[in-house]
Amino acid sequence: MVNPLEEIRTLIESKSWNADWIGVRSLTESAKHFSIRNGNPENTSCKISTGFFVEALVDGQFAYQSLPSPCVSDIRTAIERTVQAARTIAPYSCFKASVKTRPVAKGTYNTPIREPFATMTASEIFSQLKEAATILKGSAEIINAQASLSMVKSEMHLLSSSGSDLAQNFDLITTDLSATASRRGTTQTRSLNGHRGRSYQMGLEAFESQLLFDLAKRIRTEALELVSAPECPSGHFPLVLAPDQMMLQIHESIGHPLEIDRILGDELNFAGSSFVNLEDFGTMQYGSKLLNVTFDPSLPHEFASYAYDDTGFKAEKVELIRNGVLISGIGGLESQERSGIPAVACARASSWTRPCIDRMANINLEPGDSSLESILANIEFGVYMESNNSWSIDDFRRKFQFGCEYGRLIEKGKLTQVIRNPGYRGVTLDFWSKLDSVGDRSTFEVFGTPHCGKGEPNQLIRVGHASPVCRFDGIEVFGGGG
Amino acid sequence: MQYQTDSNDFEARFRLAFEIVKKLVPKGIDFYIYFTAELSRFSRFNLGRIRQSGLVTDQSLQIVITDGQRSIITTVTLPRGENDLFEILSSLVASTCADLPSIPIDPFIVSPSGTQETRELISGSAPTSELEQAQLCEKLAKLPLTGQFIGGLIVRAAATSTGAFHWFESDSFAFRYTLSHTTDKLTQSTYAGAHWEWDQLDNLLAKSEESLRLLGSTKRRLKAGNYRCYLCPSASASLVGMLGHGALSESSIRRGESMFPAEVDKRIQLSQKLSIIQDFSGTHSPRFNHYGELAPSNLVVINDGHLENTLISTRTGLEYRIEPNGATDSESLANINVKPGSLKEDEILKSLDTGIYITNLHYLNWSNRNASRITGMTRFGALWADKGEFVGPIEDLRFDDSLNLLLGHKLIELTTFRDTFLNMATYDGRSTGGAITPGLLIDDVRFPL
Repeated sequence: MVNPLEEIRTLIESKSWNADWIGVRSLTESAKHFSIRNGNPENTSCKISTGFFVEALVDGQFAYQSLPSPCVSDIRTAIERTVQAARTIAPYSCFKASVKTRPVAKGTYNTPIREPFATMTASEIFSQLKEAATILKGSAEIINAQASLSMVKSEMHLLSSSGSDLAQNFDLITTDLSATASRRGTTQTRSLNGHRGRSYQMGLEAFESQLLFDLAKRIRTEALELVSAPECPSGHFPLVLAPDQMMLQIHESIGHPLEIDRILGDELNFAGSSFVNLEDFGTMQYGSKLLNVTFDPSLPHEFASYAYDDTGFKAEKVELIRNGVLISGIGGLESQERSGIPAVACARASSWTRPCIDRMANINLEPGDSSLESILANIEFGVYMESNNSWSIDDFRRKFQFGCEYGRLIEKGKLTQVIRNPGYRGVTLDFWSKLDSVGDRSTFEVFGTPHCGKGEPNQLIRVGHASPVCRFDGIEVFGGGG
Repeated sequence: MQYQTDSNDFEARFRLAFEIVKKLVPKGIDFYIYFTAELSRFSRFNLGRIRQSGLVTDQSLQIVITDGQRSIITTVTLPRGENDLFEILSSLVASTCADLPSIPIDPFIVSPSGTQETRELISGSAPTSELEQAQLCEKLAKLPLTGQFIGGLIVRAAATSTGAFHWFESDSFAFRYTLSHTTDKLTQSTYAGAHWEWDQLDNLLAKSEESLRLLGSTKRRLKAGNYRCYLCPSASASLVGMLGHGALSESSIRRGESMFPAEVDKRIQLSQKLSIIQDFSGTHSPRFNHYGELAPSNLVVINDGHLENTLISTRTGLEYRIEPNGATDSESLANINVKPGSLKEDEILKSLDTGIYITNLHYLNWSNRNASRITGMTRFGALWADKGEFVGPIEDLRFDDSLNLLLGHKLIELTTFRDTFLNMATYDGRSTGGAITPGLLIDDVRFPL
């Protein structure tokens, strides 16, 4: 049987095409989903998506065509049409891209895994989910208990007229548990680090049974605590955030504002712009001196680790914020040519039907040197929050509001009473300036989400966020009444 | 057996796929299939110039195979090459049937039962060719414009082993754009429909430039507090649209995940001026769901403020032993149609008196679902009005208030006129559906930031 990629390589190399550059990016994703809700299976599914993204650069303008066909004749027609399309619209380019925005890349990346997905049968997976769901349901007051597992194998291959031959293969796994408790008209839901927060690049070692069962027991217990807990108090307090809430804080108020294509106005019509301007890099005091944030595609098992971005740019760890000062942005090679801001390998597409745009990959807040005990120690009265369940921020990434599933009071340096419906709001730069303690490596946890949305047409992409526990001084906190 | 189709003929491919699956699925096993396809032009603009442009062909088939006690959902991209179709589908059906016995028994399996056939074709003429896109570029080249043009064919189809067959095809376009006075004084407009007319675009662009001039002065900063507000139809579509995200789902209500409690007697009455129906008469989306079932052409959801019908899928109906009403599995509102009120356009400012005139809302989310609280931001040129006169733009504000109150006793009036909005989400392919909403005059809206 003929290998379609070999045929495509031969096709691309067969003639000049009258273009500055031609690329074909193939993507095959196989996703399996297993779920048990209240003891019964729900939406057992398998999804296989396969297609080709053909791109041409002519006179500084890219054009593309996506098609679900490996037929060489279809790819040939797509290349010819794309070259013609780029030539037709080139007089109206927003900017003139050079071939340097598509570097030559040769290599392979594979997710390091210990237990391949095939090592468990569907029956075994369901058996484990059922047991977790039974633990979650272990009280008459639990009205909804859900356990699910999603596994995705993603295989990308990039071939180009300049000689790129890049294959990246990802194994991606998400486990989800949730329990909803109801008592005397009050309903509360507790989950595993927020919806789909436990998303990693690894094999079935992420689905280890005893860990899953221990977590299920904790989630059930905490759901039941929440329905009889008092509301979070309202006021300005010291606020301590767990890593699974720091994930959203970093994502919305650092990751997105630093995307260079957003700063250049590409997202003005949809996802919004940024309060950051190009001249702020190197000078803006983004947060307190304790704030150190990196773009890190190299952390093993973090959700968005990779060797190259989708244009073929080699991926490396880059400091974004050092000691509170804004150093670098999140922009790929096209953004570098447009803005002059040095690129990071962040240009990615969510599927074979979409072009690359600047995307967060893994954006991490680096650990400090404070233990959890020392973070809590000098707090007379404050609030601790875990697990995001609500997020909203303005289109310039300033005014935000977040809600969490679970909170506890901090009284005289100790975590005490459980509180429900904890939330907080603030303005980005002011908030980060109030970061006054950063946890050490013992508090550092890694999370991810498959649902970062942006772009026109829209794209949902996978991102990772790792963070220690962090403390902020004097934040506006509120409970269920707002 | 020869399986040959014209490569751009979605319907022929769907029918062929159905015949293949029907031949391959063993006797005693039921199935239903759902087809999603598009042939779309996407062009993205920044500073009135082309940023990215491309053509997307996508076609995927969802196959649900069930033996009455177990089911598996499989979705696969259909290749354009016809020779691969049989190979892919036979491998898929075989592996799914082999895996079925290993799936736990599901007491709420939905087995196909329909036999109806429907067909809905909406023709259109969108400027999707490269030359037409160049013509669009000529028009936009000198404007401070960021935007996206989407145009082309959207297809949905469903067929079942019991004989149901449904086809929906829409050739449409949507051009949503933002004009900017400076980086933070923006106004957004949308030109959408089936038949593109360059004159209509010219008129809309002129109107947008006029709206932009209103934002010319320095932005005023308002203190946190409660304000009377007028929400333009585009803003009210966002607000009312929150009801479509889980609030009206019967399953969400039963699980305690909705602003409406499961106990009917504990539900708060919304404003008597508010009536909402799920309405398929505008044909922005197919009436059939993945099971091949047809929803009623219109379903009264809220009637004079009272929650009259929730959205109930067949699966939910089985779980809770209630009558379903053709909802999809997600039980979300397909087409929102809000009844108009009595507030005339030339009376809006006078009725607003002193308060905020809101053109758009941004990033709405539930801040406390069970308490019906939502939060979000103003966006794209909110204006301050004083004693019925525009004063100028304001810095964007965050609201956080109860939807029960905003659509309840705080709702003063709805406008006589309405606008139509197509769903322009393209996360998982182009969406169908839309909303027809009036403007809303709402008192005492809480803005904490």
